[in-house]
Amino acid sequence: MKSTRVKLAVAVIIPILCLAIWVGSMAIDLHTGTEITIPAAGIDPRDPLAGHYLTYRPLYPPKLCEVGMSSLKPYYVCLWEENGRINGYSMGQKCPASKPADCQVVLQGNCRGSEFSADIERYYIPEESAPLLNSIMATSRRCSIVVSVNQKGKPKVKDLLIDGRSWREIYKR
Amino acid sequence: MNEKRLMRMLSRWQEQGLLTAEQQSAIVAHERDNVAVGRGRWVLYGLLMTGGCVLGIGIISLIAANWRAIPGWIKMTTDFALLIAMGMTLIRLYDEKREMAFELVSLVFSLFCLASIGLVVQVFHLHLPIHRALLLTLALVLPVSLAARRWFMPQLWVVGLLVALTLTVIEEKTLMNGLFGLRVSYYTKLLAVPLILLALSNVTSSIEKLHRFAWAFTLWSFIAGFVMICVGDVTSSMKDIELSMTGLIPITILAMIAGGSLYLRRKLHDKVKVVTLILLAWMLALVLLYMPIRERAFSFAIRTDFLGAMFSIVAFFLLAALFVMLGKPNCFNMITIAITLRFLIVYFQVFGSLIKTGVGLIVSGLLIIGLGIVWFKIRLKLAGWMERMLA
Repeated sequence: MKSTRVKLAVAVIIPILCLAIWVGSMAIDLHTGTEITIPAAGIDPRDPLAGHYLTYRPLYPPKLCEVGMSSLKPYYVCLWEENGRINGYSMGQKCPASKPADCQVVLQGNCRGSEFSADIERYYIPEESAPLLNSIMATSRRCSIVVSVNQKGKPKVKDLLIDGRSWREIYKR
Repeated sequence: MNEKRLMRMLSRWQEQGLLTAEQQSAIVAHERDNVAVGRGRWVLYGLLMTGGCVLGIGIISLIAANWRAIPGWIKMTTDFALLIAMGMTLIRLYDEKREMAFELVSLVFSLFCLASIGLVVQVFHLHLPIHRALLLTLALVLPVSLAARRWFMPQLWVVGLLVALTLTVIEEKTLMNGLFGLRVSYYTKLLAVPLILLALSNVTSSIEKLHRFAWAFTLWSFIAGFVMICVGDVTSSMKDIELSMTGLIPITILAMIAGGSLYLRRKLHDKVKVVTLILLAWMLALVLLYMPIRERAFSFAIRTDFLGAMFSIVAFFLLAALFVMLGKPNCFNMITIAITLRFLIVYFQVFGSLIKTGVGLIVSGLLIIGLGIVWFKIRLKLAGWMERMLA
């Protein structure tokens, strides 16, 4: 009976512990990673069962990927901000041992065809804010995302900027 | 057992001197009590599980609303507090041997894990497709599902796996193209789903403690197999099969694993195993049969419309034989209805234009009535014939 109880306790603890480790590692990445602001275009509001979110296309520098690259393997690019624009070059499929001096961040992603993607094309918004935010986005201007990149190059979206300001500030006004 | 049938049987046994009147009354009273208690429990169990599912979906949609006023860290903390509270309740209920309550909390806990993943996705703005979220949830709640004492949690877990695998085949285009090659039909790729379920059903059936999972895997591998026969029929009838040898290799390996794992089922008769292997080979044969037609451009040499019919009718006969051997008369009847319907569809494929005329409709109506009568008359003979042949 006691051993069954222990087994059940382990069965209950496993999912909670795994989720806690997952959340913890992402929170650490989000707060300790290097920030970079990437302009975005093609904002498209979505309203599926999963919640309200915006999809967009981060405007990476051109020609980061070569045609015919395997999309199953990770691909690394070096990015830096310069005068409100984003510059960069490809670093291939091997993670560099250390970040080159000219890179603000080394970003890990995949090449899908000739397009680079780092799976940061989604921003979740609260249900009650969705209609107003959608109308702001429809008339707006310059959008960008603030991304936090950890040492391994994995990115996390931190904020959505509209004309250089967080969407929350605009929403409050 | 049906009460009228029980009464009939008991009266017959009493007439034959096998039972006394007192014994008959005692059996009837005992069965009535059992049925009343059992039915009550089933209703309660059904209601509890339905309520649990609705509650879980409610939690998921509440989280999906992503309330602006609540900061992410408060949402996450509350989520973990609820998860821990549910976990502790589960352990307590297990100790107190309250089976139904334990099952209900297990169900809500499992759905809450899925909702928690949804919350993490929202708070950290992740791009996690639904099938990956589902696979992650299934991995997390597997230990809790293994602790289940009734059938609902294992069934839900296996259905979840079936959905997740199907979505993976459809959504993970890069992975699938890497595994199967570019020009491969959905039939070839989706065939992986029943094969994986069959392999898992064979593996779990060899472990005594996993008998509820074995039953669920077996049931859903049959259902998925039946659906794949229909998919194979439709795709080949619509000439929609595109294949390459690279696509055949992984699916053949998977079929060999599923077939090979049948030997883990020690209690299963060898003939059942042989018929299952023939069925697996036949499902792969559709892929092989179609290949020379496409690749050597023989598409005008034979009527590919009927390739689907031939495939599904033979596959249904093999399934019917399996059900006869496994002693499942209702499933056997369902398969024979499917065979009859497929013959009817062949008629409409050939004489489709007849339906537009009055005479055509009369002939079609008579054919449907005739097929119905033929099916009713020969189904028992067919079952008997199959039983004798496979004995």
